[in-house]
Formats: sequence, C-alpha cells, structure tokens
Amino acid sequence: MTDPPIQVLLLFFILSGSLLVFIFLARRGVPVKLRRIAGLESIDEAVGRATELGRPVLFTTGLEPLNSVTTLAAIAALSRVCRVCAKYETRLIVPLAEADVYTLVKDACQQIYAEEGKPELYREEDIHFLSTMQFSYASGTAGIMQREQVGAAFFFGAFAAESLILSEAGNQIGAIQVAATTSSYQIPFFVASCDYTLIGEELFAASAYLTRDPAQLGSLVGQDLAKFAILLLVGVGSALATLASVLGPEAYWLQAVLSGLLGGSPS
Amino acid sequence: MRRWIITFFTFVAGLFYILEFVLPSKTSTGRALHAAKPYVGEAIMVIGAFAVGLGVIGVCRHHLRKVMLRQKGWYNSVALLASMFAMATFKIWEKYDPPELARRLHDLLFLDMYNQLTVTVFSLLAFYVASAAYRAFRVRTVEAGLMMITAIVVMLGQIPLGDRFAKFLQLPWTFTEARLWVMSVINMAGQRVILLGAYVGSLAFGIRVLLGLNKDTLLEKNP
Repeated sequence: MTDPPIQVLLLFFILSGSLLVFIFLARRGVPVKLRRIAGLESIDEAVGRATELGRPVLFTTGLEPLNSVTTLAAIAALSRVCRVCAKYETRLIVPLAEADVYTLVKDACQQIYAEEGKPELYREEDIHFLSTMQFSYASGTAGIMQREQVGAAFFFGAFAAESLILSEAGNQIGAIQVAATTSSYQIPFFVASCDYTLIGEELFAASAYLTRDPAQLGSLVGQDLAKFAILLLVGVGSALATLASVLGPEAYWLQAVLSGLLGGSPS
Repeated sequence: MRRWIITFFTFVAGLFYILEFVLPSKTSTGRALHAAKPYVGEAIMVIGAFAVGLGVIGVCRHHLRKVMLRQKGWYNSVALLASMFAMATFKIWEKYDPPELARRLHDLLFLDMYNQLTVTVFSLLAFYVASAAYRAFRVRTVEAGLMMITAIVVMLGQIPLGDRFAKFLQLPWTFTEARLWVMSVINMAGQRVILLGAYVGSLAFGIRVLLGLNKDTLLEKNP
C-alpha cells in the first residue's frame, strides 16, 4: 500500500480549493464571464434542424459505464438534448452500450418529458441497451442511424475505434453531428467527420454551460484558472530543467529544487 | 426528497474515495478505509450486476414487442433473441457440465460467428478512414494545408520507401526521424494538453456531482 506523494496531495488540495472558492463566489453573485463553446451552442440548432426535416435525433453516451465521470458528463448533456427534443416535439433515440447507463437514462428521459408537460411523447422503445461489446454496439447504432435516417446525432462520452464507424454513418445520411470526448486518439476522427467537436474538458463544461447555473459556472472559472496554474508549473519546471541541464552537475541547488517539485530525481 | 437521498449517497460515496486517497495509510483511519475499499468496490459491482439484469429485461421487452406486433424488421429481433439465449445457454451449459458438444456449440457461435462478424465491422474502418481523410485533407485553409503536409511526412516515415525517397532527395534527415519527432514532440504535446484539460475538467465535474450542483445528472429540473 503506497500513499500518494505530498506534491500530488498539494496539487489536489490547491485545485479543489480554487474550484470551491469560485463556486462560493459565483453563488454570492460575483458575475462570471465565459468563453463561447460553439459545439454546445449548436445543440439547439442541431435539434431544430432535425425537427424541420421531420427526422429523429440520436444521442449516445459511449462505451464506459456509469462509474465513469465522462459518462456522467455525457448524461448531463443528454438531459439538455432531451429537454430541447421534448420542447420541439422531436423523437429522441438513445442507443447505449452499458446496462447501468440504460436504467438511469430511461428514468431521466421519462422524467424530463413529464417535466416539459409532454409525457405522451416519451417512447420507451427508443432508449435501447444494445450490447457491451464494442462492435456490436457500433454496428447496432450505425444500423439505427441508417434505418431511422436521423437528422442530428450527438456522440458524447468515451469512444474507441467505433468513433469513426458512428460518425461516418451519420455523415453518409447527412445528419448534423456534434461529438464530445476526452479520448485524445478519437478526437481527430470526430473532427474529420462531425460538424462540431468538443475537445477534452469542454465535455465536462457542458452541463454548467448549458444550465447557466451560477454555482456551476463558478466551477468553470475555477477550472480554467487551475489549468492556467498547471501550465505555469509546467513552464517553470521545463525552464528549470533546461537550466539544470545547461549548468551541469555544479547547479546542485537547482537539482534539489527540481527534486522537491517532482518528488524524485529530475533526470 | 428524492434529490436529497441521491445527493447524500453520492456525497458519502465520493467522500469515502477522497479520504481513502488523501489519508496516510499508517493512521488507524487510513488503514480502516483502505481495508474497506474492496468491499465498497464489490458493493458497486453488485449494483452494476442488477443493472445488467435490467438491461437484459429491457432488450427482451423491446424485441418481444417488435415480434408480437410484427413491426418492421421483426425477423431481426427474432434472430437477436435466439442468438442471445443460445449463447447464454451454451455458455452456462459449458461452465457447469463441460461436455465436448457444449464447448463446440459455444465455439461455433462465439469464435466462428460472433468474432468473424466483429472483425468484419472493424474492417469497415479502413474505408471510413479513407473517406474521412479525404474530407480532412482538402486544402482549403492554411491549417488544413499544414495538416496535410504533416500527414504526408508521417505516412512516408511509416514505410521503407519513405527513407529511400529522403535519400534520393538528399535530405539531411530521414522520414522515419521526422515521423518520430512529429509523433513524440508535436503530437504528444497536443495530446497532453487535451488530457490535462480533461483531468482538471473531471475534477471540477466530480466536485459539482459530489456537492449536488449538477442538477440534471441527478434528475432534477433546471432552475
């Protein structure tokens, strides 16, 4: 059993602390200014276009189960898409790869339709649990997209090799597509095939950005500042490591500083 | 009421993992939390197992309804239900009473049919990569041009002919070296920035869930 190094704990507390401070400040009414995220702004546009075409909307949350933070972030975005679909009276199809996600999503969608005053529009048969097997899920989802001729497709969550199968299937039928993932290897595929792609942390920002809840927005500012602080640390560390390399073994004090920063040998 | 129950259990479960991470294992509390971790993990797995059962029930209901109402493509639902039950039956049969016939039937379904279908779907990627690459590499902007040049360098660095071509052009470097540099410096830097953002974002999202601020995730109406 090994404990995390003190540097990791310090970073954890500094990042969490900064997020909590900004959540607190936003709740007290301090105004929060956000950068525009085109992919999230496009949700209404995509659903609107599907509605105009009289085609359904498809949303899928990727391969990971409910204990994945990426999946939770995707479900938060799905809630928004479901609400917009209920408002526009557009059919929403949700194929899923995990049974635990299926149970939550089914419940969430039913509740959202009821909250929007249109419980009769909720179709249980449109929330599918397909398979936990990657390519069964991919072929099932691509098949649904082709058969139902969806007008808009949302791929939010963790994806692997099936990302291109899904997004190309949507591209072939001319659906407007929005993707959001933290899987860095899949981002290029989504960029090539989708109209909008949310990269990395933008997926986690989705729920805060879409709900415009002040407390959640505060965490976004804290998140950006934490990222800036880490980049600053990376920059300072790189400069010190370069200096230590140039000065050689005589700069033992620099080696000691770097060891303290990294929690081990700088080499 | 419902929201408070969900928020309470989410907070307690999240707090358990945070304390287990930050508390030193040499203290009595740290040791106790670490010892409890496998049990908490098992409890989560049990809850997940119930969800799988619900998922299977959902699949059966969906496809049985399709078959009974003779909806469009009902015969596909028959094939799905038959495959699902056949696979489950042969696997359970093989596990508890392993005769040669059960193993062969399971292998026929899984290795000879399912695996081949999976490989077929996977092989579609080759064609999809080609069509996606065609769209991505249409040089309409400076960025697309740069991306295309980089992609050509990386592709030439991937094949033996590339280095011969570099020699023919009398370049001071080989395409293999250029590919390695692009992948380990430019590409790696980009990937790390994305991952860095994702880690910080997931921490922020985790705190929001832990404090019950992510209302939509907890099935609560927006303000």
